[in-house]
Amino acid sequence: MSSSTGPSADLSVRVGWADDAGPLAAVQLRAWGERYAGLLPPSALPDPADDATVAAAAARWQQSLQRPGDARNRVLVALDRQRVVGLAVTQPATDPDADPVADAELTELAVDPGERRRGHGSRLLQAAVDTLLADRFRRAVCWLAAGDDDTRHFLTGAGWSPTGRTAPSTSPATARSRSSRCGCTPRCPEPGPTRPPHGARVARVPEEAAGAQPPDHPPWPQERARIVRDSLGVGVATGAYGISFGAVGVAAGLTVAQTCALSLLMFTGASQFALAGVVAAGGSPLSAATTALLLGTRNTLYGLRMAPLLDWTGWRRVAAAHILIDESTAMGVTRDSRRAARVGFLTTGVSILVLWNTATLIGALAGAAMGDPRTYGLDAAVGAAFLALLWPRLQDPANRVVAVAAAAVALGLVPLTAAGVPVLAAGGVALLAGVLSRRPDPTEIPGEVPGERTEPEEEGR
Amino acid sequence: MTWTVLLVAAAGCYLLKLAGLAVPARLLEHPVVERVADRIPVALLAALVAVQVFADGSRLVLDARLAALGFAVVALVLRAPFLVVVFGAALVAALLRLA
Repeated sequence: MSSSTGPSADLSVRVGWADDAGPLAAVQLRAWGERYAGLLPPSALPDPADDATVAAAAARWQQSLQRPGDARNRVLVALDRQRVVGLAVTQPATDPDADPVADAELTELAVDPGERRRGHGSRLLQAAVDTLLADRFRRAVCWLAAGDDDTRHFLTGAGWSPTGRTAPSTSPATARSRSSRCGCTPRCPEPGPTRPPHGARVARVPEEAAGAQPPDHPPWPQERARIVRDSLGVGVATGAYGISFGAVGVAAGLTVAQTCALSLLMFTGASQFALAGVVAAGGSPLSAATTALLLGTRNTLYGLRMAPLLDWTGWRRVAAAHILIDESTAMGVTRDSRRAARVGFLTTGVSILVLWNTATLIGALAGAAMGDPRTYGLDAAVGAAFLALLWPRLQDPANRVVAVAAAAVALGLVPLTAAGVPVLAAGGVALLAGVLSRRPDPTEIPGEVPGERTEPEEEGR
Repeated sequence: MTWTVLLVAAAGCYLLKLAGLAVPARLLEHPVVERVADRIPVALLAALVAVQVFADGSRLVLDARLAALGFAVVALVLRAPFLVVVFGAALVAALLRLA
């Protein structure tokens, strides 16, 4: 259709109808693709070009528009003539600290990426605020992804202000009681009239009253202290089990010095355990190193997430790379500002570096002093350690299939091949599963998604 | 020999970390790459569990290590801390071997 280049009478906002379900779903999916690019892995996002995905989202919209869960659930659509180009959804706030009578939540505000800069967002927001006032709400909140600076600027420019609340993300449909080791689990968010994957919130009092801005963003020193405290907690818990690596490394036949060198130089738990395990099984040096390296590849993905948040260059980046592990990523990636991300990442990474190495030395000395590790069952502890590292990932059914297949491949090859080869060959199962699976499944990449606060994982690094 | 492996693998693991921070995201952000990378830890860790528990050289055996793994499963279901899982499993194997 022909469209004018500036605002005109053709542009409007009205209440959403059930007939809008299809266009709403399409616009929302396109907007998500742009909003979460760089925040979530592409595979985590529903594909707006996939008809089945759009149809499923449209069905959820249809149901919600026909039978709103609450009389004060409002869907507003922005129109260019009769074409849907944006949407806003408001409803009573559901946060635990919110008053569902007085507090509302702007759960979605999306404009078709091709229709930006034409005032649709402002019109939608204004209409949403008018609707909220008519519904007698006195305050509204909106959750944002930690890196969603565009929307943040838009809202703060419109008079909203940060509340300082953050949450690890988990989309409501896939909330898990435990997060992945990264502290947050980006699962495929379900498009539709639900809250998209957000991590920080912005609030506004939609009253005209002067001075109505809630000053509830904690001052930086307080926020910083809280992040440091949380990060140290994770650091202590994780660093302590360096003891088990020390004991296992010596039991595997490494010297105390070699065991400690691994913790100091390799400094990524799963790879360290793997190298020790393959060496203990009599595997070749090549297979031991390759297994360790393959397990280290996930840190590369963490780096991709953390690079824009940390924004370090030169020697800072070179140094930061050494402490780029599961926990430091988890404690950095959920923050809503750069300084907060840096504090979380650094505090966690450095505290683990210090404690993990100290604990490794203690464990290695104790292991060396004890004599034959088999007497104390330390050889059996290695399998348990691997299982504990694997455990959180088994919550995903597809991962359970991969795990069983990989174990079967490895056991089948044990009698036939040199030690070390079975484990590497099992890596082929990952390759096959990754190439064949069409389902978005970003199970272990740190990212963003909303929900209850999740507890830190007891997984290896 | 072991030192060489150890240092090469450690250097490689560091470079993998650095690559994530230094390489432009678009070079690696391909859905297939990400899916494979997501599955690698799962497949390798599962294979490592299997080999650690059932392999004795090039033979497959059932021994105290299986009981230790059973303990680990129970401990993990009960959300025991990592150290309890690992050293508890060792203790189970050690006690079985005494018996």
